[in-house]
Amino acid sequence: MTDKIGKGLIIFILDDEKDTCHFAKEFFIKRGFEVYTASSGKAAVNTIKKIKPDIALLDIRLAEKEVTGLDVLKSIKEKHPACCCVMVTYMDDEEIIKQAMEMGALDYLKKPLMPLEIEKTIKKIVKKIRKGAKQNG
Amino acid sequence: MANPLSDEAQILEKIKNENIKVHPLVWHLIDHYIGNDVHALQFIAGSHIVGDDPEPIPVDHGKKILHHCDEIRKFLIKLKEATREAPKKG
Repeated sequence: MTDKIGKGLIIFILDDEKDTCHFAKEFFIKRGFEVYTASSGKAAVNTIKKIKPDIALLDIRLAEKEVTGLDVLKSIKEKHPACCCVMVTYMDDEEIIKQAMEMGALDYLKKPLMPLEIEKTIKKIVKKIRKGAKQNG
Repeated sequence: MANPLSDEAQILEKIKNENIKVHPLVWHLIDHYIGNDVHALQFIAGSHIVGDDPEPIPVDHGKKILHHCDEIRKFLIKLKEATREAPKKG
């Protein structure tokens, strides 16, 4: 059986491709996470008002330009500073990645990527979160 | 990956040596359309296959895979049309 690494943790996924959101949700549910998704920046900002994600996977460049992945990152960091944010981008846009890291993103991934790569990154983050929780009692 | 071309190495070498560049706008479109479709394809298949308990891909999800492949095909046709050299005037 697939390892339930995400048991007790909330993951939030922002991606403007609806199938990616849907199947990424399935992928992480199988791994024990409680999953929330949004396919636009505006919807993402509304969703994160209602949930407290432990991890966020945020697509930087969205088809709708009004609210970008960086805006969503800013909003998450204001409301939930402890949330581990991983930026997802499909460009070699070092400047935007640099900006995201300065804004508090923990890591970044470049699209298109294999689910195994995402799993590896998420496992690392979960380990970090669990370690932090242990140290805090 | 498609069967590698027998002259792939020479082609890549020529691109490098002759400094043949793809315009950033073209990359932007490729990244957005192909990048997102391939990303979706990986998650559709990956949600069933990756992990310790792989399962067959249901027919309706197979249809989604075909849909994304078709989107890639349509995009490549559009891109080819847009980048085709304009016929010389006169």
